[in-house]
Amino acid sequence: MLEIKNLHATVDGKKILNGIDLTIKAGEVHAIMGPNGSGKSTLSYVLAGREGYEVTEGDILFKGRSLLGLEPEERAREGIFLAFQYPVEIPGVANATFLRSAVNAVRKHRGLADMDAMTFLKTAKAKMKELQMDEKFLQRAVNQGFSGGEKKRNEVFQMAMLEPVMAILDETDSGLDIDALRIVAEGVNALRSPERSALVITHYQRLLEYIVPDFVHVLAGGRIVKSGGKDLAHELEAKGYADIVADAA
Amino acid sequence: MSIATPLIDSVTASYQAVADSLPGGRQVEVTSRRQMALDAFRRHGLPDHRIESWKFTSLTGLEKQSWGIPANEGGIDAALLQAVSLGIETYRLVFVNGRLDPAVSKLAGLPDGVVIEALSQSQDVADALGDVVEARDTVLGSLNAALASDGLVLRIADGVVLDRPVEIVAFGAPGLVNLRHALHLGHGAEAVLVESYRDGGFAESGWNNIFAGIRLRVGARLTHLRIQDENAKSFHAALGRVSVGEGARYQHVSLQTGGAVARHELHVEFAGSRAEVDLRGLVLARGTAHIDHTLRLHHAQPHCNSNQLFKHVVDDRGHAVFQGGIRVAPHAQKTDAQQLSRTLLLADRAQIDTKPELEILADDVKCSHGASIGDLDSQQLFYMRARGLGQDEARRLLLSGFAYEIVEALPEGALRDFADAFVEDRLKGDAA
Repeated sequence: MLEIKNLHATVDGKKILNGIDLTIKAGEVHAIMGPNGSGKSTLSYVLAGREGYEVTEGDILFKGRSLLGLEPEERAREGIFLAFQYPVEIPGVANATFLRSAVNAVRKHRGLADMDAMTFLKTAKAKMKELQMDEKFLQRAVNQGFSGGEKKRNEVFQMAMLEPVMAILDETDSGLDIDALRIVAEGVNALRSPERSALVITHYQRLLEYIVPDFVHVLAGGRIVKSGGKDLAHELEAKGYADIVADAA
Repeated sequence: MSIATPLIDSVTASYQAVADSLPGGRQVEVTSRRQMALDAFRRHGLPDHRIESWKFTSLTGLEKQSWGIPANEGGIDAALLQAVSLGIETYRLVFVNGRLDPAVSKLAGLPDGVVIEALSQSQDVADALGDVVEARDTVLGSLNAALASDGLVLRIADGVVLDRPVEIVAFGAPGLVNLRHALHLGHGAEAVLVESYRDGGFAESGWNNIFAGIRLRVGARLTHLRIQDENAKSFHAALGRVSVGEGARYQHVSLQTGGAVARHELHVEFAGSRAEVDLRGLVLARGTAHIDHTLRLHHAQPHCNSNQLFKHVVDDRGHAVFQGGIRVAPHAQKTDAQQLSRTLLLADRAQIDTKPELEILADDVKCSHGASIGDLDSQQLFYMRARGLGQDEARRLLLSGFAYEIVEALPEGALRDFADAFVEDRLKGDAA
């Protein structure tokens, strides 16, 4: 599904990623953990194709094809979804308008007909119910005036509507209380299937109680310094990053 | 003493040629006012950059041609009218070449206590012309009084809530058109007015010189949508004077999209306390359009609230001007006056002049102003693209969102939908 090979990247000329190798197969959920400043968010932006995040060495293959020449929207249409750590507010644009445009852009790319307004509304309302989101969020401007938790829930809602094959969750747990965390995790788990993969970026082990990963990687200094199974997350929680990073060095 | 320029001469000659046929042309009271107004214009000529409020907007383009008053030819293509009409039941006056087109106007079924008529049919022309106020900066209002060929006369008696919006659709001509509107809402009266200026499908340049006088008595409420949407060669200069009585509410939404020069100048005065005024405007300037909003809001009474929100989308070599004047009189305590001008410059040669002018003479007031100028937000663009939207579509949605804050001041329903559809349609070309 996703193959990251010796990935080096800079932001504003500053080296942030220093040779990441990571292979995620279809159906797998990988977690990336690491201290602040280790490059977790940079990795997510590089995967999504954000301007200003420059790949200086290495490659990213998605379904066997390099992503590097693709615009953010092309990556999204191919099935990559980034749930933002800080979802962006867009005043004046209704959530429903935005999301329906996105759904139809993705459908068009897949050779499917536009989803009409009625079907969209029906589907959206059903997904919102699962995420225990009030339907009124459809008519509100994208993320505007949403609480931290509401924004994160909205990310997972968008993900549920867009049905990506590769979901990247960038600290989706931050700012969530335990109930919201459980609901959001259920939303993510509902998408798990043998065809879909996920990369869960988190600072804490807590989220991984709910979204149980197949593999856990520790990122430090822009490289993966340790990989293991889900138990690695517990080990991190018990020992802290400092020891693990020091052990790996 | 008057100045002699080809423009003044041609305008004077035009007046003399049609004076008898103008509304009230046989009433001495009317003709003497018209003559006085014309004399005022002849003394001052067109306002220019030496006048503070005309610093950023030049009318010299008008000097390049001689201006005649178009013949009363009436008649407008039904499909064109349909395309720009509100699409719900309204009381409608359609002006073509500055004259009422009765065939497509609709005034049947007016409730008791309401007068809606064309100036050309009114007995109160002198009243609509008002007293001649001679001032250099607003001399175009005098020119309008001299040449006014038609317009809306609206009077609503105390306590009457008008059941349908009043709609004015004006199709300009390649000539000088002077429409003059006079509105009077009695105590507690309520109405919705939609004023719409279109070019009638002409590609040649025309000059619309419009005046609107609006008086809201105690507790009256008026929602006023104004659309100016004319071809790239046209000139449009409008002057509005609004008096807002005690406890009254005036909601104004101005949508301007173009012309060689389009200026909407609005003077609003609080004539009573505890009144409320909300002025919003959206400018979509592309090509070489020059679009100006000049506001003068006079807090002459205490305990009044006002809000000004003007947004500009400027592309190509377009030029937008916003002059937001607020004066708070010494005794106008507890005034709350807010002003915000926001601009998106989408091209290197796009321009905005945005200028707050606050004169605050009372000490217990809340006044604020702000201005922002920038391009579309790159974070917002990335967020949308990361969801699969193409760059163009993301830009278009962001522009819609930017514009919507103006449109949403209108009451939900047909009026807001109409304004929204108009804006969406005009934004299509700007996203690319």
